[in-house]
Amino acid sequence: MTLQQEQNSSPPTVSDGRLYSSYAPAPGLYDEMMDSHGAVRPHWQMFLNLLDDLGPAKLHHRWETARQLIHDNGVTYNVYGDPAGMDRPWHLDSLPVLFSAAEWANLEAGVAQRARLLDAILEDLYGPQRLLAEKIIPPELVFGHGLFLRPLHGVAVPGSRRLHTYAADVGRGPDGRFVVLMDRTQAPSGTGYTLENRMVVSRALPDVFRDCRVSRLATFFRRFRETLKSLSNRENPRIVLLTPGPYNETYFEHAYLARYLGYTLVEGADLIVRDNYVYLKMLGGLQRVDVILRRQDDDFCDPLELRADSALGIPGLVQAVYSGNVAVANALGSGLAETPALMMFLPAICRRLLDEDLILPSVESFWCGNAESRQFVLDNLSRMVIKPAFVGSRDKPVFARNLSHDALEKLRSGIMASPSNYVGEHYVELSTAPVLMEDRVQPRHLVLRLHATCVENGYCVMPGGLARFSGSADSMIVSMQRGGGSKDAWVLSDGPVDSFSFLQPAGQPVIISRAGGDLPSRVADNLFWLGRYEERAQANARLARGIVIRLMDQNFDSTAELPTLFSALAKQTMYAEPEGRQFSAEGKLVEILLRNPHANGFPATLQSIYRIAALVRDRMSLDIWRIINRLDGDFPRADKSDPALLDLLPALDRLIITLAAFDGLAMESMTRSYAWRFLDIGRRIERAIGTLTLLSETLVPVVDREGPLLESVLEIADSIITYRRRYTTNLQVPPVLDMLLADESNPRSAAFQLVRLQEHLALLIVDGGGAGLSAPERIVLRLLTDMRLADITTLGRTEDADEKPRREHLDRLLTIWIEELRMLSDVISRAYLVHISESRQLGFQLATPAALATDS
Amino acid sequence: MLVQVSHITELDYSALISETVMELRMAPRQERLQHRLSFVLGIGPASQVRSYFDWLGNTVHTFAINNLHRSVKISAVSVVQTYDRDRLTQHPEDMWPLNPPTDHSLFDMLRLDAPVVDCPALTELAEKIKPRGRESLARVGLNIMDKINEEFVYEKGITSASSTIAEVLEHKRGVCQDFTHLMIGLARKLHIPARYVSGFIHAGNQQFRGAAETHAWCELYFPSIGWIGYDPTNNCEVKDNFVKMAVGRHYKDVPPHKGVYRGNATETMKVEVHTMELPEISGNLVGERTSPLNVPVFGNTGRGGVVPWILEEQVQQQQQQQQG
Repeated sequence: MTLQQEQNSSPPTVSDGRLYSSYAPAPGLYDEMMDSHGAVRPHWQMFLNLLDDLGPAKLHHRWETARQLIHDNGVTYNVYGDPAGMDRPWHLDSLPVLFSAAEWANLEAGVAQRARLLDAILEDLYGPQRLLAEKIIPPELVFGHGLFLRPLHGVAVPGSRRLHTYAADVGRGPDGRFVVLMDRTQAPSGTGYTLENRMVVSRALPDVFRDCRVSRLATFFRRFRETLKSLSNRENPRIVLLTPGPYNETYFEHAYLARYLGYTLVEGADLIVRDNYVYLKMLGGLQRVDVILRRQDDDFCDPLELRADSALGIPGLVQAVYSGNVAVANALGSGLAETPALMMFLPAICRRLLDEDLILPSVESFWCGNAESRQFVLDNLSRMVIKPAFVGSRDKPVFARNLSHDALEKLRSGIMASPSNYVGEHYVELSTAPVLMEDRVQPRHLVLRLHATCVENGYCVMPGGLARFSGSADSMIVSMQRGGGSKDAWVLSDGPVDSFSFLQPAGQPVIISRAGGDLPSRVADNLFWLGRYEERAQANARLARGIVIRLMDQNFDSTAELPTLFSALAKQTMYAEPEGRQFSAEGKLVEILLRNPHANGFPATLQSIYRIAALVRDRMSLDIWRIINRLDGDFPRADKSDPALLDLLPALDRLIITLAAFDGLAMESMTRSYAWRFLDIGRRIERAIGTLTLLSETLVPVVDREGPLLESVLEIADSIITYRRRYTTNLQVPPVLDMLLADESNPRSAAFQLVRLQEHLALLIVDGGGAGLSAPERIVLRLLTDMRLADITTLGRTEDADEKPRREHLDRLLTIWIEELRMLSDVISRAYLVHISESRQLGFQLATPAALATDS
Repeated sequence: MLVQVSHITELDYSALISETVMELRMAPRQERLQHRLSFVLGIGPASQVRSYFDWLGNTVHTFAINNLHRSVKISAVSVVQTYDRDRLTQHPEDMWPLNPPTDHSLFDMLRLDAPVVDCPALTELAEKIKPRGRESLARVGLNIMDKINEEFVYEKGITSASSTIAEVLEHKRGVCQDFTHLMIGLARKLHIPARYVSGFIHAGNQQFRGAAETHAWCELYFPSIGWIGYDPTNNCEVKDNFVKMAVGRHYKDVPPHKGVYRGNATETMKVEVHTMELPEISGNLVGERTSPLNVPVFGNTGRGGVVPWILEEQVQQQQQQQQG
């Protein structure tokens, strides 16, 4: 969330001039930079010379500047979706890892072939199943787990390609040969992070990057876009990126890639299948979707046909695919090809399907469903890494050599009980690469994630990629969670470097467009609630500030209005005083502001603003986002020590100004698109409700001396200056009511909000609305007319039938109006946002006992 | 036998729903011993129905309702001509144990998978049934049914639609679905391919469990002639008073209706089945048709349109329910 948390990358602070002078890779392993005699490998030479020329101080400075620059441009390393709400740092090392053109050529050919092979396997298993008929692989590999999607068997896909993107985790053994550790065929992640890493590192070392002639990544993405486009016959196909949502660990990457590639980011609930076509639900109606780039697991994609308990999927998607009306990349069911059990069969399959020998070997792997392999694994158990044979299984890989005797025996009996569920792999002694750790360059084990995308007659491999390194020199576990990090991988080019970039499109003129574009309903819903929460926070903060000021000012004659203000604040934040506890006025305020657990409470409201804003971040300018970011620091958290009133006042002041800045920027810098309108509709409804509630809480019950109370109401509603100018100091109820209810020129009055709502709603009906006013418009018109017709003098009248005088007229009208505004919010949701509600599975029951058979 | 089956499903929601998507496996299968003469599918609120064959060769009808609605009604009426097993299939010569199948597509019908889960109790029971030596496969089928009826009690309300056979083995009680899963499990334990059938029984004058409901039984694979039906719930071989809707590995492959809805509500469902033997084929029989049933919808909301005023009351009610 904050800059300090964002990155704990290591700035280079080497003092003896040469970065690698103390670098000592472990003997017996392959090191990417140094050969076994301690000499720098030739393709690193130029890079190291350039770094030396730069010098450590300059390198350090450049690194910091690049990070700052990237941050200013809105790229952060925060990974959203941590259930705890904590943004995890993305750890990037400042030194790239380098590969020579020759090394790369072999690796590239291997990855491309492997992608072709896995694609051919999928095409066979979802088609003629020759591999099964000819007994090249046993049926358990296909049918013995949940990865083969039976409803997709026999379903043709465009171009007979099922694997549009592929990623391989590749490691290098002590002999210098690359092996594939894992295949990713379902929804390979990492391309977004690769792009980001490249952007940071190339900005920090622009001249080094250029002089080393590093192959560019953008061409890969261009090919990738062409591939996706080619999956549809339509001229301008609509392509969407389907994400499981913000709670997914790689959500940040989904959002980032969608923006980079120019695709709409959608969740399952944004899509709907009608008549076997897939549509995106936009405010303006349904828009046909031609290609879905999915980042969601196979079986979650259709709750009807595939996984019944999936809340994320699109019911009917399989049928749409079946009808050929939508292409899904990668094809549904492609997860089948990443089962580790398949690895040991790949050389034979490669010869059968491609008539070629496998170029890039897999890590030596043994599927225990095969008797011979099982015996080998059991005989050599302590030297094995044991994995679940079929991915999707919950078990993590087990490094047998780290196990106690008992645990090892337990593993052994587990394998013997259900052998086909296990795969044993030889342990790979991964190569090392230099990583800057604190002030020294140290060796760390390395795994590369390489990406490929299908092109017309094969696969195109991204030159370079995401390298990840282990947390310590003696750990082979390469994981961000265990203290590891990532590196940029540079492939050095022999020839000229293709300088294509998405960021500077040349040649093609851009078509000028002013339409804000249509808006997915889900985004409209988020903006609507962002507006409501933001306004709610503001209203509550103003009220709280009114209380604080009165509490602090000893000379203030505050006895009369304070209880009323307190009860208004408690009501608006749904605060329920804990029974049997007595608070001082000060203590009570702290309770209401910082410790109220209710969803309408102050902490929850601020939390909601941040959460929702993060969801619609791509709709807001960087400045607005920065303001949102500040909310977090503006306000004290409830911890052990209570903040003093003295601290609370500036905190509230800051918060009010921050929120006002949000309003101002939204007003000034957002185009008048649907997005802005929904944000504003939310704000207007909330403000109208807030103003009416404030009046209801303060002016319905009549207190002895109303002057100070009226003053505080005007102050809270930010209308005191105008009032003073109009009426000097004569504080009376009717003019206050007029100003806050009916005065359409006062931006704080309820009527003003309704006029704005009327304008918005009139523009929202796009089609299907027919003639006349929509339901939301009717409510607004009725409310506004009521307000215009209301007789302010009557409303101000006090009736004291009981001992406690009240303004009954006012009470009656305000109650109705508040109720109608709440309903307006619901009706708007129903009219425009109705389909965002969650989906449920019909009870899977057998028929209930029913009528008797009546014949015979 | 010429049988007419009416299968009526009524679904009621506690509140307005914006979308229901359903998949039906209600059309009787076309098979050697069963000829579907007529199938009329009524659906309300009116919606477009599409059909296709699933990977098991079952006919599936799908539809979606995209207007606000509070209930869904499905009426499936079919007329089927059924035949008893003929001389050829009456006395199959297949012997247990079977050779491992060469056809890899039988793998699915041999594999123990939820809800037909492998468990110690299943292994134990299978051991009791396992023939000492070579045995007629038909005999083994009958023995399995006898054993189930000896040890298990037919009782409703003990198990649910999602119960696995582990639960059935524990309680020793269940309904047709459980008996069928159990028989499938035992057969597969003995390496006999077995599959699940959903359908109907026409009871006529006789007593049958599972008549006037959707029923379930199982089929065993005889390499010489194909699939032969056994009804463990009634402890009998399948005859011409059985009408098959769908086949699968287990219940989860063949529920008569499957669906997803969007909205904040709970649902209640009522199913009625009525079977009747027909004297002759009527001249005005319709081969296949779908027809709309009259079930109300409440305005179109999906296209950014308007909600009619009529709704306001309901909206308010819902709001109160949510608050209350």
